[in-house]
Amino acid sequence: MSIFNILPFRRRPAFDFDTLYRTHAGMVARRVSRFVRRDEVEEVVQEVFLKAFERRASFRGDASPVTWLYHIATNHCLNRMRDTKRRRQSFALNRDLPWLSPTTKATVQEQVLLEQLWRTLSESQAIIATYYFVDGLTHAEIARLMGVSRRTIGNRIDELTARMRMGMEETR
Amino acid sequence: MKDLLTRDGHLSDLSLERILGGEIPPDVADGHLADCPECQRRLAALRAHQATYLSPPLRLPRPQPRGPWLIPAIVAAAAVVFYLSLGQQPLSEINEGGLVPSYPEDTYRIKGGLNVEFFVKRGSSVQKLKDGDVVHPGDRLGFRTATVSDGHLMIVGVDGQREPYLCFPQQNGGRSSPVQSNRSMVTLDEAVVFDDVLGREDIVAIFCENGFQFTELRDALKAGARPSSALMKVGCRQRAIHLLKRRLEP
Repeated sequence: MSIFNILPFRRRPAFDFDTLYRTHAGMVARRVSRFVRRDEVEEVVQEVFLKAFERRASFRGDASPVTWLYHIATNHCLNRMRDTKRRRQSFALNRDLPWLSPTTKATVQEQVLLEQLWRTLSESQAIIATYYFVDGLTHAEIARLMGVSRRTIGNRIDELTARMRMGMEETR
Repeated sequence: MKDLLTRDGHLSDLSLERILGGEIPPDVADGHLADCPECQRRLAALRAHQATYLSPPLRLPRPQPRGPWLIPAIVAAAAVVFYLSLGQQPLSEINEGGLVPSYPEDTYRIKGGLNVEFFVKRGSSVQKLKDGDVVHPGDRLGFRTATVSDGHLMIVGVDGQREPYLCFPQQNGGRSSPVQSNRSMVTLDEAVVFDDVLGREDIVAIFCENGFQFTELRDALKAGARPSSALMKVGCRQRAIHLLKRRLEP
C-alpha cells in the first residue's frame, strides 16, 4: 500500500465570507454597540469582519460562526479601547457606554473594582473579565469561546477574583 | 442547557444570539424561554433589531495581482493616460448612469467625493437597490451616504412624467443640506414614499462644495440634462440610480 492510500485527501469547504457577513453583521453590530459609540458602530463592524477575513483560516467548518465572530468582535473592541494612544483616556471616554453594564447581578463594589482593574489587565485577562463579570458567562462557555480548557479559565478567574478581593480590602 | 445560562440563571447574550442564528435547536432552550419573561423580552429585542438591521457594503482588501510586476504597472499607466485624455472630466461624469455599482463591486467602498446607497423598505423587508431594480408605489426609499470632505448634499428624483421632486433635505426650504466629512456610511433620517406615477424613476444625489437650490436643478432635470452640468458649479459630484416603477402584482 502506498502512502497515498493511507492519507485520505479532504477538501476544505469553501469559506463563503459574503454569506457569513450578510447573515451575522447584525449580531456583530449588536455586540459592538455595547463597546463603542453609536456613530462608530458601522465602522467597527467593518473592522471586525476585516479581522475575521484575515483569520478565516482559523475557522473550523464545523464550528459556530456566531461564537467565532462574537469572540473576534469582543477582542477587537477591547483592544480598540485599550489602544495605547487612548489608553489613559479611554475609560473616561467610554464610561457611559453599556460595555460595563453587566447582564449579571454584579454588586456596585465589584463593578467599581472591575473598572479600576480593567486599566491594568493584560489582553487575555481583560477579555476573560469581560466574559465572566460583565457577560456572566460560565467557565465552560468562556473556555469554548477562547479555545482553552475550563481549568485554565477557572484559574484565571480565581486570579482575577483574588485581585478584586485584595482591592476590596484595600478600599475598606 | 446549563452552559447556555449565565450565573444568574438567564440565557447569556451569546446563547440568545446562537438561538437567533439557528445554531441552538429551539427545543433546547424552549423550556427556559417559556418560563422566563426577561429572556423572552431580550430575544424579542434581538429579533426586532435583526429584522431592521441593514448591513452596509462590506469593504475587504482587494486581492493583490499576481504575476510579473510589469503587467499591473502597464495597466496603471494606461489608466492614467486614459483619464488624462478625458480632459480631467470629473469621475462622476464618467460614471453617470450607473453609479451604484452592481454586485460584487458594491461590496467595496467607491473612492471619490460621494458614496451613496439607495435602499427600499417594503413592509418589514429592507433591500439595497441597484440600477434597473423594480420598485412599487408605496415603497419607502431611504439613503445612506458618506463623503470625504465637507460640502452640501441634495437628493432629487425624476418620476415617469419627468417631473422632478426633492427627496432630501425636505425641511430646508429647497436648499441643499450642509454635511460634514464622514467616511462611514450614515443613514439619512429622511425618506420618501413612491407615489403611483409609473415608469422610469431616476434618483440623483448631488454633492457640491457650495450650497445650491432645488430650483437651480428643476428645469434642467425636466429637460433631461445632467444635474451637475445644470448647476454650472465646480467641485460637484453626483451619483444616480435608474429604477422602474411598476404596480405591485396582486
